[in-house]
Amino acid sequence: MSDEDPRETPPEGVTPSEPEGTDTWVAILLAAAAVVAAGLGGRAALLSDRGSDTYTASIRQHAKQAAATVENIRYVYDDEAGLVLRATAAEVRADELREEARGARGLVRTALVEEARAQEQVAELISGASLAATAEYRLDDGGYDLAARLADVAGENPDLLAVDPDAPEEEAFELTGHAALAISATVPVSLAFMFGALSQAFRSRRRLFLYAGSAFLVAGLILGLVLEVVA
Amino acid sequence: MELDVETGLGGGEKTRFQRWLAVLVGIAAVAAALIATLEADADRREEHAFVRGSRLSLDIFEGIAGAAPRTSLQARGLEQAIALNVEATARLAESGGELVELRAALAAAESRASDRLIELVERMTAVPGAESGVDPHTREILASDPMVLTEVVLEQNEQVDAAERFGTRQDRAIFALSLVAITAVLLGLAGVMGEGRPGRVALVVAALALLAALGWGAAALPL
Repeated sequence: MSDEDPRETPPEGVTPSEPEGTDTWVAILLAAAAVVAAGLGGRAALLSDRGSDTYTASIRQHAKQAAATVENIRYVYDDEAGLVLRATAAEVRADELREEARGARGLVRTALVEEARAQEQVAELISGASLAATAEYRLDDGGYDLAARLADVAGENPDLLAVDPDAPEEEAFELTGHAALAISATVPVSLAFMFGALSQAFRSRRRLFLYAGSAFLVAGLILGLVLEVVA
Repeated sequence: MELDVETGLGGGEKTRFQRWLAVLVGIAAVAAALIATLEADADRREEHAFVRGSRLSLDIFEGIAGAAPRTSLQARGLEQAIALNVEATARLAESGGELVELRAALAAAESRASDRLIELVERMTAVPGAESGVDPHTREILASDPMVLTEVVLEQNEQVDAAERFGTRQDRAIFALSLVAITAVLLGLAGVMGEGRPGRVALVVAALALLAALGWGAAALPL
């Protein structure tokens, strides 16, 4: 450089420069800060990606669970229960007609018994065609146990019963939380970088800035490691 | 001639231009880390609110579609029982004739059957209890109340609004990060150009870009 180059003439009032050997430490500090920041950023990206995938899994599982639950309910209470209702009505009518026949005589009694028998046949016919209106689900004092039928229908797919979409949602929230913390751990590392840059420009305070930068770098590194252990 | 890039290593005491360059580089680095933290936080909250909103939509669908068959069956059963009672009353209303005794007997039986059927329908269509063997989630859906669903709809809307709010914060943070990136490029350019007029212009523009980045970063703060 020429003699007029201001870079070669220290400004007035500035203390003499630190030895050139400290340049190596500045370079190491800046490089280490960059590497740690990149590592933390990469780790955060991985955690965030896993969190997003887990969130998606949570929604998928919820949709699967909702579809299965609604379908089970619809099948029992819509498809099967119509016949169950008709069977129950026929049985109740048959019971009451027989009860009425006990107090009647002659043709009236015969007609009531015949009507009761017809209702019983209707109920039997339905029982033969329905999986819900069977003896297995018959209640002691009439009607059928639709809840037990629903439990059995749902139990045919135990995997769907075990679905818990809340668990992946909570896991995803934690993962993305750790990702955000990993990113926040780059703040002390960036301070280390800043002090590294300052130590290069303000050579009279180079050692002080180098120490501060190193301290922040170690703090960022420790924070990152702690997060790794916790995550 | 010795090669000395301003931001590089080596050399003696630095000039004012170089010091400003170093200070701005340091501030840009810290600003980038802070804004990235804000962006990550906003992104996380937006995603969570979005997922909550989506899942609440599913809850609403499930509540409506899952509760309807049971109440519909209850209505059908009661309708059937009432029809039986109406039939019995109609038989009694038919006065006179040879079959008056039979009609009265049928009406009495149907009237009692109607009462019993109402009881049975109510019992069969009741929300299953814990002892029923039905899993808790299905029981919860069967017991869905339209009034409660209205609250779920409100909560779902709140989550969607929250997702939008956090999305806006995230957008601002991303814009601020872009400005920091521009700052870094301009600082690099200033370093290469040196202390001449072009270098100083690049340095000033970089400082302005950094200020703008900090402003947008502040706008991304949760207020």
